[in-house]
Amino acid sequence: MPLLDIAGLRVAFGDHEVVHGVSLRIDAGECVAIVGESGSGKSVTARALLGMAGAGARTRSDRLQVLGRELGDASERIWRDVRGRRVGLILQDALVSLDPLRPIGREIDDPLRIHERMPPAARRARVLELLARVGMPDPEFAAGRRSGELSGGLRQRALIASALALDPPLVIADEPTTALDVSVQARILSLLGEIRKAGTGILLISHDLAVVSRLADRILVMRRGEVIEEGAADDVLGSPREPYTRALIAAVPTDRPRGTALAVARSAPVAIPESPPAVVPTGSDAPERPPLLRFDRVAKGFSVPGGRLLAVDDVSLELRPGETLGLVGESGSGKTTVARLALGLTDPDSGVVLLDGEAWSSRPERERRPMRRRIGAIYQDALSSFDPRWSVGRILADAASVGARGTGRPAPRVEDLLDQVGLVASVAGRRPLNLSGGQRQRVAIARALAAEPDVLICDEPVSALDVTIQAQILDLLDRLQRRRGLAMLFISHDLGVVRHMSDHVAVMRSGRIVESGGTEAVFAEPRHPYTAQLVADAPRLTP
Amino acid sequence: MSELELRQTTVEASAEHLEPRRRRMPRAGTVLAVAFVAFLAVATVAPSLVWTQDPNRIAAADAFESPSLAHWFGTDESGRDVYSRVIAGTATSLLIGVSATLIGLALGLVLGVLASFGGRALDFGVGRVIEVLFAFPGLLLALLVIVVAGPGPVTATIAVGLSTAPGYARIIRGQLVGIRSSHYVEAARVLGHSPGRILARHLLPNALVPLFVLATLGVGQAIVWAAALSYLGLGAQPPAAEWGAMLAAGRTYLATAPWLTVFPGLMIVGTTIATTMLGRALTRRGREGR
Repeated sequence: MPLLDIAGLRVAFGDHEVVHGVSLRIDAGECVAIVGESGSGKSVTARALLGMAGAGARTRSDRLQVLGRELGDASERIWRDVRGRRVGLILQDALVSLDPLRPIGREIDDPLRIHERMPPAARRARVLELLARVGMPDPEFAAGRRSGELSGGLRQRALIASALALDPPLVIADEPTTALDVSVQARILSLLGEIRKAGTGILLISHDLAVVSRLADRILVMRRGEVIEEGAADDVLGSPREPYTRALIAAVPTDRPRGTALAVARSAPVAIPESPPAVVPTGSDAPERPPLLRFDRVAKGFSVPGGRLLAVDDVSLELRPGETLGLVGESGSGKTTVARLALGLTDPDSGVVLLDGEAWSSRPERERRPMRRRIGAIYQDALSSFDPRWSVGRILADAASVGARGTGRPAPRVEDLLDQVGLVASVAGRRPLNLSGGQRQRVAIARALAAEPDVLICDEPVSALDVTIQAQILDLLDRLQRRRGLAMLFISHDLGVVRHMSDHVAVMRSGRIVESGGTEAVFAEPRHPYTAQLVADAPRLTP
Repeated sequence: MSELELRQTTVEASAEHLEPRRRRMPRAGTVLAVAFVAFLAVATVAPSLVWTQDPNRIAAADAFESPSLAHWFGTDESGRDVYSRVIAGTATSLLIGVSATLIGLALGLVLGVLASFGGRALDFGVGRVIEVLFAFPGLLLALLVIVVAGPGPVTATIAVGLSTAPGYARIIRGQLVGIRSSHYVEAARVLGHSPGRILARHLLPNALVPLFVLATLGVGQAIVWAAALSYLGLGAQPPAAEWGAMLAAGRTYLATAPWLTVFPGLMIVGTTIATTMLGRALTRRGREGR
């Protein structure tokens, strides 16, 4: 008997149908993955399997069976019995999925208390056993922590533990690793692998084929509410039939050399472009050019309860014109502080930052201000970097005026700025709030370039985006850099992305640069064990 | 890069859903509120256009007539037409409400900007001053001002303005502190904009927009307070046709001639509701974008 057997599942909101007849079957010990972009209907499908498609949703199906029990028109009471006991749910962001005011031990205890008649002592033992099973170090201690006191990875483990509390035969994991660092992601995925080995069926939802390829036995590719391709994981990844699937595969940046396009134009006849990288100004002629941005033994600390935290510790970097320096590390490694130091938003405790050979960090703000347009920035969350009251046109015109003031050239026109990032001119009249994530990031890039900078600081510019959109943005950044000869400091936790984008890399851990050098040299033969670990954990397709 | 590539990106990017803009019909309530405020505006600028007779004309024979076709809101103890008096009082009441709110806002803005930009010591100082002002009930503070400066509509206005200032100051400070550390202000700094420009273009507009709704609420509140002061005989003095003063004068006859108090009261309530709804509608439009 299959754990899950659905046929012709349709979900509609009002008159708008978002899932058009999905069929799916999961057996014990099997992992089936649904892959697709945001808005493809994958999450709605997953939720419909728990009877929680959302307010105003109408769900119809020819067959909706969980453990052989038809649930097509089940009442809310029956659904409540199914949730937790028969089907566990793991969501993307444990921070919002766990009650911030309660210790995680209590959260994990909840399903036991609600569904099982167990004496408190037995429940307590079960909670600790679950925490141990998901690889939580020191379960006793962790059970008493609130979710906010744990790191992202530990939090996600706690959430998985609560989903597994009642030993459900089936677990639905909706983007379980999307918010996590690669190394944490690798650990969570192997944890899910162990659960599967123990006989639990897993429905894995993700936008990232690389994540899916590590775990899935079968893959369904969803687009616009329909399953457009399905099959054994090896077949789908190895010999995809649909152009869209190929685009998804092509979008994974890991192991794709610098200068290769990641996004596949959808209209074009599709072959994954394997064009050699364009000539990158590196190697022999690089040392002749003085660095545009230089960190010389920079240190920066912050006061924390109980002492001082060195966020950046004795960091030296050099960034030359036309070159990308990738900075990779986990969250909390000090990457963003490096970005803020480079942008002159915070001053170092010791050491200096030099811009084009001149003092930068040591200058008073009054003198620094006219130089600021030379360094542009792109942030992870583009939306919050725009004044909510301003239209795209006003945002760009404002930035362009800065460039005009600094260079003496006429300000670039808004239409041209939009055009170079691949947006139509009519976007100028809209507000960023009404744009998609990819469009917002394009506007952010256009703004950064409007002031005609020499250096571009990109702090996690794609980590909030789907892989396909990520691929487009990375391609765009790469092209613009080549055209303008920009120096780029590219910061990311995702080694695959950094490796694809950078000429040189620096690996950062706990505020220190543990390894640096030419990208391929560092990643092909990592000398530091931490770098080796990052390389091993990078999400790649493993068909 | 080739032009073809460029064009392809353009197609991809614009293929990401650009939903058509929706232009929503104004709600019925908003239309009513606009109509009411327009009526108030006419009554303020040219009351003689909308009143039915001289508001101060005394006709002893017509005293205490209940509402009728001849006297829509009835007549008072001297036979004056209540409707015409309500209209005549609009200018005074609105003037008091609006100026008191403006005084409160301006003072709040000064205090708020001082607190958020003046450094830690000033923030602390202003914070304590605001707390002390808060500790007094608003009306008590207003009474204090009147004791010092003597009763009258101008003093009443200033008094009400003063007593609303600490609320505004605290909100403005909170807004400014939040916005100052926002990413878009950081982005403006990175572009090299001066602090003055950032203050004028980002900080103040974003801090003041939410205050706008609050201020429309405040106008109603200020009218009520000014009416309360007039009711106590400390604001506008009879025979002035200010709404609060009318309420005060009519209270003696509450049991026998309720229309003397009901209609001025309704005007106060109506004005408060209408300005509030307008403020809400305006912010809604602002939020939805163009």
